[in-house]
Amino acid sequence: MYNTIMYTKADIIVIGAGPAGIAAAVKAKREGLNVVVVERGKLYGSKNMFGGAVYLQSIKDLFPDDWQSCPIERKTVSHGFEFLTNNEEDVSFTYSNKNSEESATVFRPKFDEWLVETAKKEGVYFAPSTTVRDFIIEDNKVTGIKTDIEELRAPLTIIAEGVNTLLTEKLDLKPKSNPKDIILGVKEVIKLDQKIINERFNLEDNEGKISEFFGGLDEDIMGLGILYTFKDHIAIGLGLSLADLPVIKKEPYVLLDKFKSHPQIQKLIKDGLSVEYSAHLIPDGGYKKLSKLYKDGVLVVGDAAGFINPVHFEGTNLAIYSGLIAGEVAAIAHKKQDYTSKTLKLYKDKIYKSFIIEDLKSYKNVMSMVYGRKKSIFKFYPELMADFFSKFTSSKPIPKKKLYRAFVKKVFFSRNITEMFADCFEFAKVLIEVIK
Amino acid sequence: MSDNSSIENKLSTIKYNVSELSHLIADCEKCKNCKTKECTYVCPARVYSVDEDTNIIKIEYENCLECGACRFICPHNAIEWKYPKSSKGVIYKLS
Repeated sequence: MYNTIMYTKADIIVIGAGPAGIAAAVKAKREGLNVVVVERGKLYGSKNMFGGAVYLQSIKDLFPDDWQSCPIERKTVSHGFEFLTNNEEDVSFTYSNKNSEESATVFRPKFDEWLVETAKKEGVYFAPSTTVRDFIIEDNKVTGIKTDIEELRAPLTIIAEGVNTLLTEKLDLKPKSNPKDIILGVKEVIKLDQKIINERFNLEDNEGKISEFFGGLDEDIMGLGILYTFKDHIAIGLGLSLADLPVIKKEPYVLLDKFKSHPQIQKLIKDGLSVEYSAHLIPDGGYKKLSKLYKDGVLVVGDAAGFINPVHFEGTNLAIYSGLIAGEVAAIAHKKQDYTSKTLKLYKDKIYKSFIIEDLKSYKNVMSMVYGRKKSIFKFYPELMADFFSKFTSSKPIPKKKLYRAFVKKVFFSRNITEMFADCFEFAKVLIEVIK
Repeated sequence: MSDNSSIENKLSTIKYNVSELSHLIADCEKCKNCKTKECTYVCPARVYSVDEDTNIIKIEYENCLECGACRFICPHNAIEWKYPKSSKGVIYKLS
């Protein structure tokens, strides 16, 4: 399986065969460089997990000729926002567009395998079952990697190791993340008849729905529920603030079961068979907690760098775009035969000029706001919304104004009034930052 | 401590290629003195549990999902965290 001659001639080593690493490799290969991608899993995607959907534009931009063979499950035509309370109530908004081509669900093992096979067609070399433990460093420059089996050398290493940044930390490109800046995702994939999924979510065969659930956990934790539809599976999961779990002393799987047993969720997953449980971390520190992006002989891409916009569920697309930019800069460095920071700084410049940093900058305080106002977002307002609609739909023979007055009273006086000012102030502050 | 059947059922759906050696090593001295034992609350696979008699952390590394939550949460840096040997560990099929 090993072709050492091929590897020793590599111009670039990429660590990690996920979307970021593959994008970097493909771009560099197109510019004429020899690229080897090392991956610790034996099967591609077997170590990876995400909620379930990719943004299709990024796939088109990565593989303009081959994107249509991407193994998608369902194209997202419906996006639901549901607010749960602790009983049978549920307030929801759904945006639907039957013609939408924005995103689609995929299973990572199939999707990552497809990325690899498509990249191979373009001449990128892959070395699976290869775990990187350390770097070769000479004169303060990274000149290669140390794997379980051997040492590989190349003038440039692109780190696409993902969220668990063991190697990025080793090079002092970032400190170990604070648990407050990490979300733990847990999910179960549930097998369900295609027809039942279509009926239950009002979909045609290839159409999909994504839902986000606020509230319903009844815990003092920042926890967002998610649901994705696949052909004959659905994924149900939670994104949980890592820092909150030891505080509330509840394990993630206990919370997942609690979420699954909520009457509104129960009816969505009923008669399904749970076929795979999985967990993965999400970097949530945003702009303020990005890693350093380069060093002599090194670039950092994707989750490892911290390129995630959790508000819009953007991760794989930012991984791909950052990878493409890294591949482009690798080619420039190769042409100049200069792999020092002097040339590699260009990667940072280009990333900072791209929408990636533009967005991460304007969203830089959103997640800390959500964390700070979690009681409001995941409890108070979902309950308030349900209360409003329960009054709005009430048939009690009492004057409506009495009901509305009771509601208004609840808005202002059911908790300390400063909470409402804090909500308004914090929401407005981040909103202005995002749109200004 | 929660009911075990919840996590056991979940873990039974996952495929692993189990390594003979643990890739997670805890510093027993640090763990013994740790009052909060954060790792036992964040691990999605219940890898960490406390032996109630000895107060020692037990590590069932075979169930590890390689997420890294324990590494980030441990306030004492008491967990030596490595990826399992190449090709060993969790094998997701539908993640």
